[in-house]
Amino acid sequence: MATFILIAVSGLGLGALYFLLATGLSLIFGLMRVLSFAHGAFLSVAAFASWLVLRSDDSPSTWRLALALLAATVLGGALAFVTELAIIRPLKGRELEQLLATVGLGLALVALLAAIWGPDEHLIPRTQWLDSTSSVLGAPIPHTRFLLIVAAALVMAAIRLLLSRSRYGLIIRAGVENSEMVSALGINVKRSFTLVFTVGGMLAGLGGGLAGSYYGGVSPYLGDGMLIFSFIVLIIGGLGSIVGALVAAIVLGLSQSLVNFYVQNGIGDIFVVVLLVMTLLVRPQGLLGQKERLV
Amino acid sequence: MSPWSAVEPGVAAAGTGRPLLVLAGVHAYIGQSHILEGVSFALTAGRVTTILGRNGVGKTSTLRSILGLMHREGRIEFGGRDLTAMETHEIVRLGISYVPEDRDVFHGLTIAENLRLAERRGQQPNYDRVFELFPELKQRRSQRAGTLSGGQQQMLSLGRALLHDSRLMLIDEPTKGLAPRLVREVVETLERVTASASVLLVEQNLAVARRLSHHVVVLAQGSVTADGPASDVLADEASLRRYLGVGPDDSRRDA
Repeated sequence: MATFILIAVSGLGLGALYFLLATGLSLIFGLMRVLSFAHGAFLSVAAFASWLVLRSDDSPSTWRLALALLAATVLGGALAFVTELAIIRPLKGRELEQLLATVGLGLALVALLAAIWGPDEHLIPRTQWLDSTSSVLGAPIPHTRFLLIVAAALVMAAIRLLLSRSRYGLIIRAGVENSEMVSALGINVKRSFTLVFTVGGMLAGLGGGLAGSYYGGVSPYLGDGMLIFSFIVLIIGGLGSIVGALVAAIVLGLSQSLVNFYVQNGIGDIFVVVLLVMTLLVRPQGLLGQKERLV
Repeated sequence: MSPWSAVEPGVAAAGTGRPLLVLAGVHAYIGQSHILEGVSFALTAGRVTTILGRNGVGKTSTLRSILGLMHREGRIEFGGRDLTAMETHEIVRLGISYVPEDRDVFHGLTIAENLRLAERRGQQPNYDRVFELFPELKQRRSQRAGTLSGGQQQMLSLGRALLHDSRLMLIDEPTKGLAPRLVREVVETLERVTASASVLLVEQNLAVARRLSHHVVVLAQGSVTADGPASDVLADEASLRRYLGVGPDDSRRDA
């Protein structure tokens, strides 16, 4: 039982990572109809930023960890901000070109990381608290899992607040339905595009910072696998649905971890792809894929 | 100023003089299709100008071109300002409100949220006017717009456009798809709303056009084929048959 709980909580932690990346991608696609393949690379770059902050100290303080996560989040947001203004906006309405541009940017950033710091993994030192465990129903749960789950819960609450309480949230929810009509009400919808793309980058950045601590290391390719599974989360949850992304992230994280452990390592990843195919066959719009609902 | 007037003080009184809106040789495209082929006409302030024409002649595209919602070329001036280089939200902020063909209310948002979205920075929204015209919107303000009937959605779409005083209202087929009873209600409301406003109306229903219009522009195959006072254009039975496929008998239905 203790093993099951350990694996399940680890699965929830993995799901939390997927959710952080997928929720940004979901907002971006919902509002802008852009599938960004660059956000995986933003995650990798941000993970390296957190590594640079943490690597000088074998047992960094909680403050240093907070600084590392802040640096990762800000860098992810800054990269996304510049990308939206320099690449996405000039290609507005040309969806294929936008997609290809994000693929190219993603490849370039990963190559840049590999060129500077090499292709191998770099270990990330953890704080004393993160390196220890707490017992839950007899299972020793690593604190990194709690950090991820709490971070994802806070992000979910913040996104819901943004969407339901702020004017930008109102504009985003309306823009997901019909961005043209939002413009016809006198609203500069392009600002919302930039905001959403940047928020997506910040979430990828935060995910990068947390992924480093979760896996215990960073590599230029960290974001690649995360991006693929996050897109699967996005499709299973329903493109444009934040709640759908949350549900799908939990289902994927749990099933991937449990199957990998109890069946055979690697089969969990295949199982996730089977879930994707089944979803596309049975419910192509995803679990909660209603484009007019974001909250 | 009438409580229903949607036009700024002074603009309605202008009535005559320099045109408020001028289109000169406007061409518009959707993909490879050439939709507007040199549309030219002028709209006078304080009057209702109605664009008539069969399906697909470019009536909606004319409104969308004014708003910058589609690629267009030519000259479009509003109050002396050239609109062709401006973006949609900038054009709207000059004082143009828009009631689109399919209402385009935001289904996932409540009525209150739909109206709140139409509020403009630095301007006081006139909720009293909207709720006086459409009391149902006030009663149902927490209801999602997607659950409203077609008529209620049209009220919301009109209410959204009336939340602020506009220098010009663009209204696209407000009676389209509505039951005859609702058509009468909407037309009565439009009569009050447009009494002193500057309006560019697209309407397929000739009887509605007859009741509301001061001036009529007839489009055929992407260009203007008739342009003049409503009393003259709508009395020309031969032209109506040729360009609209209807005669006076058809025109008295539904309104």
